[in-house]
Amino acid sequence: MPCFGSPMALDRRHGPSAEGQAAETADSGTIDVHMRRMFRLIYRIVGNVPDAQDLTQEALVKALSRKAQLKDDRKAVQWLNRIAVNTALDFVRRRGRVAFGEFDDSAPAKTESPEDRVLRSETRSWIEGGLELLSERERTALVLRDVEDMPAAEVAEAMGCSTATVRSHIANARIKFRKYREERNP
Amino acid sequence: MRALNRHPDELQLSLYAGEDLNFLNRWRVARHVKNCRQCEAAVMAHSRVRTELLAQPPVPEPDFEALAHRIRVEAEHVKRAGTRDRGWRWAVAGAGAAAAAVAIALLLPVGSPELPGSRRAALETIPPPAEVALLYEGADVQVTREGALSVRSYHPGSGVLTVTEYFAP
Repeated sequence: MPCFGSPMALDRRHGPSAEGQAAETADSGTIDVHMRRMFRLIYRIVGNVPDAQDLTQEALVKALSRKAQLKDDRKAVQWLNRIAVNTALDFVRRRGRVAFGEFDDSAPAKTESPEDRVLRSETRSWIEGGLELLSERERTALVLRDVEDMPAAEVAEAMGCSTATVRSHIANARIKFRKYREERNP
Repeated sequence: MRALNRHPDELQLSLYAGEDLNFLNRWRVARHVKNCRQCEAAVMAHSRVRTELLAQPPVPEPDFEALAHRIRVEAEHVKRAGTRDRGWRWAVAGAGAAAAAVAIALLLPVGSPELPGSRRAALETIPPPAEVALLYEGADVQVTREGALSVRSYHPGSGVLTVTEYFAP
């Protein structure tokens, strides 16, 4: 599938219209390939579907308009992850806090009993409460590392800081979360 | 390599629980935790938190087709707007450059130290009043057609020719 770095996007033998068409196809491929992953990352940071959708759109449009900045095509995923994380963090900073209001809108499994649903809702609100105690960078580092299971080095790349800084954020976040857990369930 | 004699701090224990320590530190903490119930309990608590976070509900699946369509439309719109902006920018830059060229062409005859004969006609060689000429002794003082006073003074030492125009208020 054509995406960033596809030969089609770089082929200079075509005429201007063919080039434009190739670029369009490449853009389309980029959207198809990276949209879901970017949505997922952004959703984990902002915590609700409508904002995550808008921010995914904003991040991808930003990326497509600045794709000349991407020097190494092999780093497209990291580059796009970074744009997604920065876009989400900017949004959270602007708004001041994370709104986890849309958690309950995720489609429940068809086999889920009412008791399971209540339990799931309780778990969610427990996690939301803990995440709200963290700073935006701690929350982002923790969510990417412990929820998305990304290696610390990748988290660092996505957040634009060193691995040592990310480890520090993760450790602080885990400690705060542990204390929160102990206070809620002594 | 030596194992830890003291308790590792909470930061290290939390990183150990998430397998985020490097090989040496992991080994040292592991050696300590094996013989310390207190630290073992702390590691267990961190691991429980991690397990609970990992078990978060899956990310909801919105209508990705519609989202992809929105993104394509917006990207196309931004691309077109960018092209239009670039066009306008070039037009404005061209107009600015033309205006600057016209301004320079108009101002050059007045400010130039060596004026060609034809352009020199632009300056009226009206002799200045005697009191004005006295004020600028040693300088070439002329009144221009616009009524401004043009004073040209040459400093042989530095080789600098200064042309100053004074406009009546």
